[in-house]
Amino acid sequence: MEKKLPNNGPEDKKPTAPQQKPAAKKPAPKRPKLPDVKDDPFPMDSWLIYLVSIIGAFIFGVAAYKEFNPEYKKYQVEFKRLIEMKFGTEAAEKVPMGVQQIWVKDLNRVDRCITCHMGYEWRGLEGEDVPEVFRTHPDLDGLIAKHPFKDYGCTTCHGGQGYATNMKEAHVIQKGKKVRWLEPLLGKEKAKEYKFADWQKMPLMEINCNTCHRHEDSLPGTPYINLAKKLWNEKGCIGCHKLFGEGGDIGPDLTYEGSKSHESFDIHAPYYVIKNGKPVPSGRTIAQEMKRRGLPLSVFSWHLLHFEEPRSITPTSAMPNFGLNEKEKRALAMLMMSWKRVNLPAKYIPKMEGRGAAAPKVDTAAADTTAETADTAVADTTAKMEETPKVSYDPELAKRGEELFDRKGCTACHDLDSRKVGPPLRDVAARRDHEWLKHMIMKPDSMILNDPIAQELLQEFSVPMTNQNVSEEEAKAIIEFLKKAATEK
Amino acid sequence: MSEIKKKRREVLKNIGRLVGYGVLGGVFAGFARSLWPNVLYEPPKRFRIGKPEDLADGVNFFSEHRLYVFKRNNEIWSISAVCTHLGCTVNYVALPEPKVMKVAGKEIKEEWEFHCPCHGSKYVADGTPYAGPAPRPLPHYYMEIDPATGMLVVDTSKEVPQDWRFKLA
Ligand code: FES
Repeated sequence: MEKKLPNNGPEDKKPTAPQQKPAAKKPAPKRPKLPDVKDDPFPMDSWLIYLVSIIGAFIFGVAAYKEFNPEYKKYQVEFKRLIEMKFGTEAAEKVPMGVQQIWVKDLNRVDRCITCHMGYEWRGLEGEDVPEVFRTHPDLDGLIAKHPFKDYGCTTCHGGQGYATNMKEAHVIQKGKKVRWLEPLLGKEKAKEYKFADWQKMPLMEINCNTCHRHEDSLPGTPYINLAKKLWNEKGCIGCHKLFGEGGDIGPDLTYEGSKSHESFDIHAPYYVIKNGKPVPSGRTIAQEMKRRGLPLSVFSWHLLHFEEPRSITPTSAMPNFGLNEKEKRALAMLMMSWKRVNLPAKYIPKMEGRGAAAPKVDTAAADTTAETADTAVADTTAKMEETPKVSYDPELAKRGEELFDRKGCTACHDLDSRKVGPPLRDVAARRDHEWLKHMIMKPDSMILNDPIAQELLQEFSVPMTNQNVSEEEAKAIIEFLKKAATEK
Repeated sequence: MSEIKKKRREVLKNIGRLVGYGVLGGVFAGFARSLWPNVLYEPPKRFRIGKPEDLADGVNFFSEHRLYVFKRNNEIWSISAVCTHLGCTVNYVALPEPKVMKVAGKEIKEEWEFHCPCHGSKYVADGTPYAGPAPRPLPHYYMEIDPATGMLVVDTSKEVPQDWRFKLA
């Protein structure tokens, strides 16, 4: 080493250090004569120090430059110029600068998309001549009136990383790189990646619509999801799959299929092809099959392959091949992805129109009961009850139920005939079916999260029913008691 | 050592010092800057309250923002409804007949007042307290038209004098 660094100062002992050990036995090697430092105005270490400080200063300069010239600044300057051109200097002066954000506390969203997409609510920037990034959000008076920016932010519907303030991170652009963001931007690029013919309409966004609107049979503007829901009913999926505790046991519970992490899909397992009606290994893994078809390696692609032929993924699967076409596969895969576990504050739970409206005309007597129970949504069942008022019950069990009704504290919130914290329960047994009552008594907490009727009731009474640890058999007794109550008026 | 070498050394030393102090200063500047965040997780200080022509003549209350907005003869102004004592929402109280009050040396003829329900602070129409524990007047806020939507924007980060008015064209 000494040979390489003839300029070493006398303090620079490091290069000689490794030789110290053998030196213990042998006589210390003679040091080569070093040039006198005093004569060398620029010894090696000072050069190093200069070099490091210059590099440091350079890095510092770059950091400072980046801090003062973030990517979004360029957009903001350009937007200001656009506004000046279109609406004059005065309007342009009011264009805010710096990081802009929509903070939605209830949904825990911080969306800084509007830092660049500054024209999102600026009327008059709808035209094609305006660059897409600045264009007004479409349908401000329809869709956005129902989902105001300040209550929903951007990423609730669009996906993407709301916190990010540069395009690459905000849009989560993959382009060959292995990045697995849980919430990619469901825009045109994503749709193109999955080769949607109608990518221009950003069909993948329907996934996010349905995360909240999952209980509606159909929703305008979501053709794929509507198709999938139709298929779900037609093909009788519920026969094998459970949703919210209802349905068959043969297939997996799909209630929160969309929340399954990607780790639970093994895309490196073998991919099978069906030969003579039997699955045989294709020699490729699922991931390789995805690549072969030009699909991104993702859960969505997994669903696409699985809907095409369930046994090509799980050779022992009992799920039949439904002969779905391309559109139907996509629709169902989107439906699966949309079934996420979300905790929606009450005001975000969609009001299910059509429920009450579809109710048949009720005669005044029935209408009265409806008004009393303050539950218009069930007017139809009430009407039916008027025709068949006979509810049979087991008197023994009902007696036990009455005791339980007291002991479990139901009376704290419910009275038979008048509204307390919760609704009156006199004819609840006639209004709701046995299963619904059982679920509501045993696990009201999960009903509130999942059941549309329970959600409507929560909106009305605003106090959620608590879980009182009622066993199934106790619930039965309480229901018997309620049935008895329904017969005595 | 030759003079020229000495000089060169001095120059380089100075450059080194400059760079060192520059970087140090930058680090401190960065640290100081971090005390003023770009954005916060809090309700926005600027918010829209609707089209000016949609405001009712007289008093308007925005419970979400705890703000009174008054409109009179094409003039609009806003007063915070947050009591300066302990932050209760003050009530707008219309007086049965206008009265003349002497507050802080000025004579004011007023038709309404603000009364705090919590500890009895009372404010005259322009927000000046005249009774109770409230230490400061209710602030008035700056308003302007948002060019994006044509709506009136209140900016609670900018306080304005009590006689400030937004004039409708
Ligand atoms: S909070 Fe208003 S008087 Fe105390």
